[in-house]
Order: sequence, then structure tokens, then C-alpha cells
Amino acid sequence: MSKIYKKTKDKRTLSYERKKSLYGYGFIFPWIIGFILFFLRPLISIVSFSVSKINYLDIGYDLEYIGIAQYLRAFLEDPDTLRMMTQSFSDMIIDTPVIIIVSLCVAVILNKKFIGRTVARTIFFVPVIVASGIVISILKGDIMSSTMLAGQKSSVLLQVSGLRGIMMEMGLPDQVIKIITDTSNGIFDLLWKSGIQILLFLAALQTISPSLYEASAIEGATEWDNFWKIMIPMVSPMILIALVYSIVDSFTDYNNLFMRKITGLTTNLSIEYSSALSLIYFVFVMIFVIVVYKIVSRFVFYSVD
Amino acid sequence: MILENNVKHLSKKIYKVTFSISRAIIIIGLCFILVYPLLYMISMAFRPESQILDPSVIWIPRSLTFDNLINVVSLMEYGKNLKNTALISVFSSVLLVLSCSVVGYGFARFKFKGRDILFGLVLFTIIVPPQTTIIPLFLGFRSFDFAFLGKIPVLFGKEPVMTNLLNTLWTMYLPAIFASGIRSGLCIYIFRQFYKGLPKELEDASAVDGCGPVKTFLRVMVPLSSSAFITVFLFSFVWYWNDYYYSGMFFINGNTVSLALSSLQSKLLAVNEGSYDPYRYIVSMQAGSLLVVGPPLIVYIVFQRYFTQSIEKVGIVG
Repeated sequence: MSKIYKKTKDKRTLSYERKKSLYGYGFIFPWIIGFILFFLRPLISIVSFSVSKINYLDIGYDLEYIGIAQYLRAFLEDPDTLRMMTQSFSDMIIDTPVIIIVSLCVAVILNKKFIGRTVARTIFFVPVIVASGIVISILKGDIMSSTMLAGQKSSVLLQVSGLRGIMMEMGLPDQVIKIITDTSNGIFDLLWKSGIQILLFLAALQTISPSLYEASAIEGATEWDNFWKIMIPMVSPMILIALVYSIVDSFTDYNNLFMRKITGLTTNLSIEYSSALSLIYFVFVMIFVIVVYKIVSRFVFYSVD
Repeated sequence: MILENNVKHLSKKIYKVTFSISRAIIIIGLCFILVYPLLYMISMAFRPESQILDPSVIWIPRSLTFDNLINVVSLMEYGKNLKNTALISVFSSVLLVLSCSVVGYGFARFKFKGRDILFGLVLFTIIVPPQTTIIPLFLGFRSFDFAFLGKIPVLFGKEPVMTNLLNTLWTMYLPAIFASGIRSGLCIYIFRQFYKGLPKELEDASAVDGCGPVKTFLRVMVPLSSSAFITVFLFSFVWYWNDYYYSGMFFINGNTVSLALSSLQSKLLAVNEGSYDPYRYIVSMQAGSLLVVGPPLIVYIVFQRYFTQSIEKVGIVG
């Protein structure tokens, strides 16, 4: 008797669970189709392009397997591959920590109450709106500098020529002037790159419960203590996400040298080589991201909900 | 004793005042850096080209002109392109937001086998740069065969049916419908985080009231998540609007404003028969940039109240 009872009970709970999980599959079903059609299939064909020779036919194309010749070419013959990879890597290593620190500081400032906070926030999200398109490369003079006469670039707009003159007058050593101008020229770039990160940090700071600050105020903590003991731990999951986002963003930016090379090869219809290069690059980025993720996630603090 | 207290009070006040002054300076400085290019754009777009090097003009030109804008509007075929871009970005982002909200809800609120692996794959799509998959996507759209239905005639010894989707808006809409549009991984992620943050009791309550999962989603969850919807819509609208990589690949004629702006340079050269006036060039490029940035900026300004509110209230991406 009890056996039968147990059986029916099991069956019922199982069916409820299964029903829920089936609904889960139902909800993500559109994405599964999209993933297969618009991601997995292209990815598989890229792999097959990179190890074949493409013969273009009247309708469509034909693949002929030639092995890993393109990969050997990338590493053994092409001098650009390793050079550009190290270049993008070092750009990323320099940019990412600064972006994270700057955007965290800005988010902490924007999180405080002050007059005109709404206006300031509105302005700080402008890069999110403007910076993802072609307009930013026009503003930075990337397009202009390739064609404009020297000295008439609009990218002068983003440089601190005045400051440089003042420092020269003061008789500061060249090295110091160079460092100062380089960093201050970089401020623009960094601030425009950190729009999304500021957003992420601000969102995370908003979720910190006020009771934590109240408790720390009773204990007599200063703002400085609050920053290190409350904000940093509570925001740390978001630091991880922002870090990964910045790394990927820096590696896959359209203005990145390696990306430019791949795009150039693609438009020149040397698809086999560009597929091989993009796969190499992508595996390199992925390994790096995974390593960073593994290391940083050790320091991340998750509050128990 | 009173004196000591007063001094203490005073020093605290001085500290507070200096603190807020220095904070104000930092904020105003940073804001200036961010607004500067926009102001520059506006200032350049409305000034006659002869006033670019005029030392007496810094921000406000001595005479306003609409010639630059009018000239660029006709060069970029702005009216036609604007309509087309608006069509693409509004519909694609609406479709993407709808599909991503459904998928994000599925990942956040249901337990099923392989969920974590599948979500890992969502994150994986963020890491893969679009340059990697664009060529196969292009080829796929050229001879598109949805769900292999076109292969059915092959079974009867006939030619397969393929549709060429290039140059049609389906190249943008189809991925958006299936939650695989531009940066869709990020959108799914944002929705998942948002739905994870909603209290579990909502679901239980609606289940007690006899709602199935679909009804719960539509009746309870969607009305609660307007802030997430607005945020993701704003993001994806801007990404679609500014996109020139996908659209440059899939539309041969290049009917979007971003593409028109990127080809504006060569058009300016063609108009002046190969030689050009750098001053004319600067004002025209800035006017073109203003025309491209303008509409999303207006959308942002209209929505920004909800946008910043949504960040303040729930911390959508937390």
C-alpha cells in the first residue's frame, strides 16, 4: 500500500518538475534556434573555411581540404600576426585597469547626493549613446588623419596643446611634459570608453542596502573605511563583469589593429586566411579572458541572499 | 568648552565645503570633456567655413549658416536613409527586446538540465567578435534556408529552394526575432539579472491564483519590468542605429545614416572632383556627424528620466 502511495507521489512531483523544466526550454527556445542558425553554423563554417581552399562556383562555393597551411602561414610567414597580437595585448593591459578604476571612482561620486546630480548622470551616459558608432572615430580623427593635411586634423580637438605650451614656458623637463600630456590626452579616450562600466558600477552601488552604512556609522567608520569595507566587496561581482567586458571590448574594437587586419583581408576576399586569423585571435582572447576570470573570481565576494 | 565645540563645528563645516567644491570641480571638468565634442560638432556644423580659423570665434560663430547641413543632407540622401535607419533600428530593437526578455526570463526562473551550460554559451557569444562570423552569415543570408525546409525538394530529385535575403530588412529582423541580434548576449544577461532579482513570492502567488508560467510572465513579470525593458531598448536602439558593420555587409546600397556618413568623405571628394578644401571638409563632416547622432540623442533625452530612474530604483544590471 505504502509502496503504491510513494510511487504516485514520486510521479506527481516528477511531472510537476518536468513540466516546469519543459517550460524553461520553451522560454529559451527562440534563442536556441537563433544560436544554431546565426552563431553555431557560421562558427563551424569558419573552422571549415580555415582548413580548406574555397573554389568559387557560379552558384555558391566548393571547399577543398588543404590542412593547416593557413595556420602555419599565420605563425611562420606573416610577421604581422605576433606583432599585432602583442600590440593589442599591451594596449589592453594598460587600458583596462585604468578604465576600471576611473569608472569606479566616477560611479562612487555620482552615487552621492549633490545638486545637479540628474544632469551629471545624464551627461555621463552620453558616451553610451554616441561612442559605439562611426561618429566617435570621426571625432577622434581616425578617418580624417588618414586624408587630412598635417596640422589640420580635427583630433587637435582632443589634445591639450595649451597645457603643453604652458609647461614648456615653465621649463619643465621634456620627459615630464610628455607623461603629463599623454595622460591628459588619454583622459578623453578613457572617459569615453568607460560609459558602460560607469553604468554597471552605479547600478551595483545602488543595490547596497542602506542598513550597512547605518551600521558602519554607528561603529564610527569614515567614508574611507566605507569605501574599502563596504563598497568594494559589495561591488566586486560587478568589477569582475566590467573587467571581462572591458577586456573583450578592447580586443574586439573595430579600431583594434588585428581586427582591422581581419576586416581588410575579408574585404580582399582572402577568406581562408582571415578565418584562420580570426580563429587564432579569438582563441587567444578566450584563453586570456578565462584566465583573468579564474584569478579575479577568487577575490569576488558574494553576499548570501 | 563652548569655544572648543564651535571650533570643531567650524572645521567640520570647512571640510564639508571644501569637499563639495572639489567634487563639483571634478564633476564639472569631466562633464565638460564629455559634452565638448557635441558642442564642437554643433558649433562647427552651423558656422560658415571661412570662420574655422577665425581667432575671434571660439564657440559661437559670428553668423549662423544652414548651408553645411543642407549640403550634407542632400549628399547623404538623409531623408531616405533616416527613414530606413529608423525602420531598422526601431523594429529590430523592439523584436530583440521582446525575444531577449523571454529568453532572459527562461534562464532566470526555471531549472532545467543544461541551463548553466546554455547560459555559458550565451556569454560565449558576447566574447566572439562579429568579424569572425560575418562571412558565413553573409553566405548564409545569400542562400537562406530556414530550418532546412528548402531541402525538401531535394528528396524528390529537384533543386533546393533558397531565398536570397541580402538587401532585405530580414537580415536584421530574423536574428533579432531569435534573440541573436547585435550584442544580444548582453541584453539576455541584463534581463536574466533583472528577473533573478524579483522576489520569488510573486511567482508562487500567481501560481496559487492559477496562472501558468506563460500567463505569470505576461501578467505579472512584464508589467513589473518596464525599467529593464526601457534600458535594454535604449541600448539596442543605439547599437542598431550606430551599426555600420553588419549593415555595410548585408545592404549593398548602404541605406543607413551611419553608412552614409562613412561614405560621406569619398562623396565630398567626388563633388569637388578630387581636390578638396579642408575647411569645407571639416564643417561637412561635423554637420554629418550631428545629423547621425541627433536622433538617438533626442530619444535618449526623452527616455533618460526612466533610464536613470531604472538604475536608481532597482539596479537593473546588479
